[in-house]
Amino acid sequence: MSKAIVVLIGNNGTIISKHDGKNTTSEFIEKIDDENKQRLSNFFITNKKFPIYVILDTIDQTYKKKTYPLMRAFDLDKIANRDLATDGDKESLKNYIILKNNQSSNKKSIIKKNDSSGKIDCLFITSSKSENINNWLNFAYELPNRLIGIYMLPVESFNFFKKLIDSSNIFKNQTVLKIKEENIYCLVIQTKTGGSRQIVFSSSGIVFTRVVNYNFNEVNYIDKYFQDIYSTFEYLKRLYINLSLSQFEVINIIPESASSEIMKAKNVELNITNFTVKNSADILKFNSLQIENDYFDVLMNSVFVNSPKILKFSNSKIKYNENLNLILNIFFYFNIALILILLIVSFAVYNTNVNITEKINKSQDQMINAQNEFARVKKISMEGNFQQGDREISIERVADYGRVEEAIGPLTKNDFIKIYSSMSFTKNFSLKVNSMSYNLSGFNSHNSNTRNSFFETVFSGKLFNKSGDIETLFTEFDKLIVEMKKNLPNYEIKYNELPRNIDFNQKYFDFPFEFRISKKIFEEKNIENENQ
Amino acid sequence: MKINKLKKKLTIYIGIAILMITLIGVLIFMYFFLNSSFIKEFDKITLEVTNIKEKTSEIEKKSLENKKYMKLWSQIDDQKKSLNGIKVDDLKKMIDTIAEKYSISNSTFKVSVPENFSSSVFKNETISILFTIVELNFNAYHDIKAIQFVNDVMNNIHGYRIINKFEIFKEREYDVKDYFDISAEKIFGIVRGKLVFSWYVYKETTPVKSSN
Repeated sequence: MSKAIVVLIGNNGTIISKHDGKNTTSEFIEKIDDENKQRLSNFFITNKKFPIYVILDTIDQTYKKKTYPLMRAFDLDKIANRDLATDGDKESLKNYIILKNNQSSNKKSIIKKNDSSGKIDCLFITSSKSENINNWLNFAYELPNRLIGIYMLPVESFNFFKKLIDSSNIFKNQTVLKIKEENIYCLVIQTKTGGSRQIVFSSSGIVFTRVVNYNFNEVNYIDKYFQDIYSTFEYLKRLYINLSLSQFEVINIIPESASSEIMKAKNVELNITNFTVKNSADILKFNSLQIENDYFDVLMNSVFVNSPKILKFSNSKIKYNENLNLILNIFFYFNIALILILLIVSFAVYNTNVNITEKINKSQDQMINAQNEFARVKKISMEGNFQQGDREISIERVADYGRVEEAIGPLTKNDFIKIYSSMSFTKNFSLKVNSMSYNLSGFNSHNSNTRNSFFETVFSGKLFNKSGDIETLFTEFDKLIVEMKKNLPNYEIKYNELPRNIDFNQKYFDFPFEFRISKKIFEEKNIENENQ
Repeated sequence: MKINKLKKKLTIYIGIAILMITLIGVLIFMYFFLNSSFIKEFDKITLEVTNIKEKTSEIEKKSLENKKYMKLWSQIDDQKKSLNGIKVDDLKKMIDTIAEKYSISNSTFKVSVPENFSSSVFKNETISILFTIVELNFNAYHDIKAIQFVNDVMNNIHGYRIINKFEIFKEREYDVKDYFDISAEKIFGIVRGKLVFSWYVYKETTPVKSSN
């Protein structure tokens, strides 16, 4: 249920009803003047969150139908607004609605449609602004409440009519009413603010309205009532040529006493359905409404508040006000969004700051630890001088010597004497050594990496064989090899084997040999140990 | 609602929006500023930590090396540590003396021009190294004398001497006439020897950074 304050202005006075979603309170004011302005201001200020809707139940409302050729809605709106603006009356409240243009309606429909000719019917509604209305509007402009707009009671009462018909089908089976497309309905109401009124509806909306000059609380209204109903029907016959009385339904929302008087007339031509305001309110489930003297005003306001609005009338002030309100709303939500963004960004900045501080602190701790470790290592590192006896040698000098010794020191250890002495076993063999060479291979004197260097000793000469027998030569050679390996166990010995394809019938009294004896200076094991 | 009040309210809303946008802008700027300054600061500290760790590691490595070289120091004989430099006359004198001892004849030697060894090879910081290549040719009566001669020469030279090549070659066997000629000092020994060695000697000068 919506919250709102409805100001229903009529020629007889004004009813202000406050709808807070649960309860409805109302007050009748005959005229707004300085006496009640202050009190009303206080009321509105107290309820400043409630938007204000103004409904006009005035006599001087005109409803004029106009037909346009079929065109786009945008173009129609432009033309209709131009027509409204150029009618000469600048002060009145004006607007229009497009009457339902049901292209697929059946042929029985009595509503004169221009489907075949492709035309659009518009209903132009005008209401002059009386002094009373102006006073109320000027008063409303100064209130803190939001003024939504101005509405016409006859137009907006279509919602009441539809709801009543829909709801009465459920509750009142004996008087089943249906909105039929071919029918026309005449709603008869009586308000405190505007008096009695006929509002004529088709199935899609208002057709016209007329204020009648009798009161159901007075006597002798029966004749006038039927006279007005018939004159309305006659007027409708001009609009809808084929309309018959059976297609014309009258719905009275009047006091029970008045409806019983009408029924006593036993008019069999007219289809009349009677409701009181009270039982209409009950049907529409507005049970808590305080209905005064069966006037329709408060019920109308309640239905209006809780229904979609049909046609809003506005003026430049209201439009300006509404635009400002729209901009305010946009800014309100924009500001909320900004506040959220601000909070998120603030959190992000705070979080980043905390993370940064933590990381910086952590890295500074790391730096301090590294500095401490550096200082510790520096302290324990062997810097300064090295004392050897009475000589003082700097550590750097020791390292210089050390690096050279490490690289080329082992190369200074010559073992050619050892190899030569180990070869003394050769005196037991019949051989002659012509030359011996002792070479350092894989050595570059300008490179400190001497790991792949090795000494190689080469003996070359002749092995003698007195008998000349090839078998003896092989035996002697093999013996020599065995002896050599035995005497030089830590050396690698390479030699040329005696060729196996030599002529066995020939005598060999000597045979040349060449032994290559080598040893790696830096054994792999030693290198690994050094690296460790 | 009064239009003035609405306008006033709108002005306040716009003011709040501007304030918010400014604050958000400032905060976003702060966010990026903090981040960028953090990255700079963090990188600086990280770089510093890395440098310190590298230095620590270098010192540790150097310390280990120093320990190793201090052990090695006592194992290096004084002859190697000598700072006498390369003196060709002294070398000649010494070779002649040893040659006489082993009846070595016809000994000749060549010494290449000593060069200042680049410090980039052995990374020597406090002392320079001289380098030369010596070639010694001689004749000996027999192989044992030749070997002993070479061994003695090598043992008597200071610094680091590394034999690149040592060859002895006997062209033929001695005959009776040879013995008479030898005793009459008419011929040299028929064992020919050739020794080539690299010679590294310390010199108390500032090391040369690079050699051409």
